Amino acid sequence: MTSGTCDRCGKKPAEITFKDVSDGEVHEYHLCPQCAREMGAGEQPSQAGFTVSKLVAGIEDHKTRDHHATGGVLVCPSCGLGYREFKETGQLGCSQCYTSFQREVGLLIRRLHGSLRHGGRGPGEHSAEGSVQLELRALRTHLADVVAEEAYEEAARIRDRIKELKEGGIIPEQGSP
Amino acid sequence: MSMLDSISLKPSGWLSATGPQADKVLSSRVRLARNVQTLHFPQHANADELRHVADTIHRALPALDELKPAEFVELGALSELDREVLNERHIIERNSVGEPSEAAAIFRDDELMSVQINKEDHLRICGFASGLDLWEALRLAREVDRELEGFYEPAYDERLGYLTACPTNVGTGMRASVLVHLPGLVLTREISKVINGISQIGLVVRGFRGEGSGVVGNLFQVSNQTTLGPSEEEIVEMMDRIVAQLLQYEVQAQEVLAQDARLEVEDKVWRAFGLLRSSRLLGSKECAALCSAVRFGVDLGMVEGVDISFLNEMIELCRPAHIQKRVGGDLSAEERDYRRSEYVRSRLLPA
Repeated sequence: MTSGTCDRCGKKPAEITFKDVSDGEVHEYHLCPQCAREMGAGEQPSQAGFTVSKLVAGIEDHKTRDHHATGGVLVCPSCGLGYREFKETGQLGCSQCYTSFQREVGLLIRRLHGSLRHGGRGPGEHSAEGSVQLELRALRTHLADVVAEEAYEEAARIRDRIKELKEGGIIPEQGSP
Repeated sequence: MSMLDSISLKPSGWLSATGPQADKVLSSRVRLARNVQTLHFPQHANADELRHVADTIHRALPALDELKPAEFVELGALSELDREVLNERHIIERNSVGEPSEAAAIFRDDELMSVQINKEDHLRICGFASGLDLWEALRLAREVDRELEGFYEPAYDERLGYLTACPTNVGTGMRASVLVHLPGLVLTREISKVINGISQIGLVVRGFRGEGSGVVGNLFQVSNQTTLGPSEEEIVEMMDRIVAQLLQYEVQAQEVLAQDARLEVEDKVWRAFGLLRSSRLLGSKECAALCSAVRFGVDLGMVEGVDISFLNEMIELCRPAHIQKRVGGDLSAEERDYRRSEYVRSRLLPA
């Protein structure tokens, strides 16, 4: 998606989608043509040197910039990591950094994920039922595949296992009333 | 013989080609990033903190039923070659921001479950499955996550979810990926269009081991980009839907080729087969490309008697560190190419 403003300058419209591989992950940025050129879009990834840290620098809002301009130094009181270092490496120092750099990291997260609200599970939310649901979904995928291949013995084995799981106790099946 | 000594002789369990759609999808992987609440993230932690993480997980190992039988390895105690072998098997990832001390890994003997310790995050829990089976990969990763949770307090925020060293992973901490073989889309030159389309809907496609040097063996890794917002199940559902569509495009491309260029494709496939059976110097990328062509031939029903699992194995067992590990030492590039050709020939033409 290239709607909205450029991830780097935050001013001009984003027209180019730029993908960068760093830390074994692919990151995608939406840039205006000028920033894309300056950041090396079109070059080999290894030459581009475009990382999360550069995205961080690009999305600082005016309050953060004013803070730096007046000689202020943002530091996480828990681990001592300076915001400047985070900008260079893209790596936070501790879980408290998310609070210490709340504004800056919040902007980055919104840009990266389009959300600021976790929708998945949390610690302690594992259940035997959840595990069975995942096994059932995996078994159903297998079943469709082996039936398509006319591997009926294997299909019968999978059906037996599905039946066993259903009779084992448990299931309020997902999606059923 | 330890698990690590024998590891280069056999393929990882997830290359068995027994899963759904295994003709076109090599494997599925789910990775969960986790950190210990009270400690600095690995790049900023001191040696004591990192040792504490590694010791905690090592001590927990006997109680981790899902991970049995497993091997615990301290990466600092391994040779460079052994580390590279683990990297080639996806048990550990290379860390471009520098390797923290006390890095370690645990892997179950079938390698369907593994945990990286003190890399970019304190823990990176992985579940693998053969074929297109992200549900199974998620189930395995979650089993390990559940068992490990009893041994530490995860860095977790009610609003942001699991907190990770890099904000690209925050939330679920989950990266789901599938490794797909798309020769039809490459040959019909439709692949860029398809990749662009997929990128528009929040997934990332990249060449397998192809960073900076193009695609290897027509293999592509598709993974989710967003880790915060949707639940783990929603991410898998989205991936399943989109990969199914991607495979449909591949089937259509293969049909076009079979209809319009059957003889050219058949020639390409059999030439590749001939080279694999006859070469005396076989480069790593060349080997992957030839295996891809033969795999395509199997997929189109042109080649019989070659198992897809064999072609999967070659992608891993013919990597440079694996070849050197099997002969027990450093080899020059030419010696590696010779050993690679020898290995492929021995497997294609059993004595």
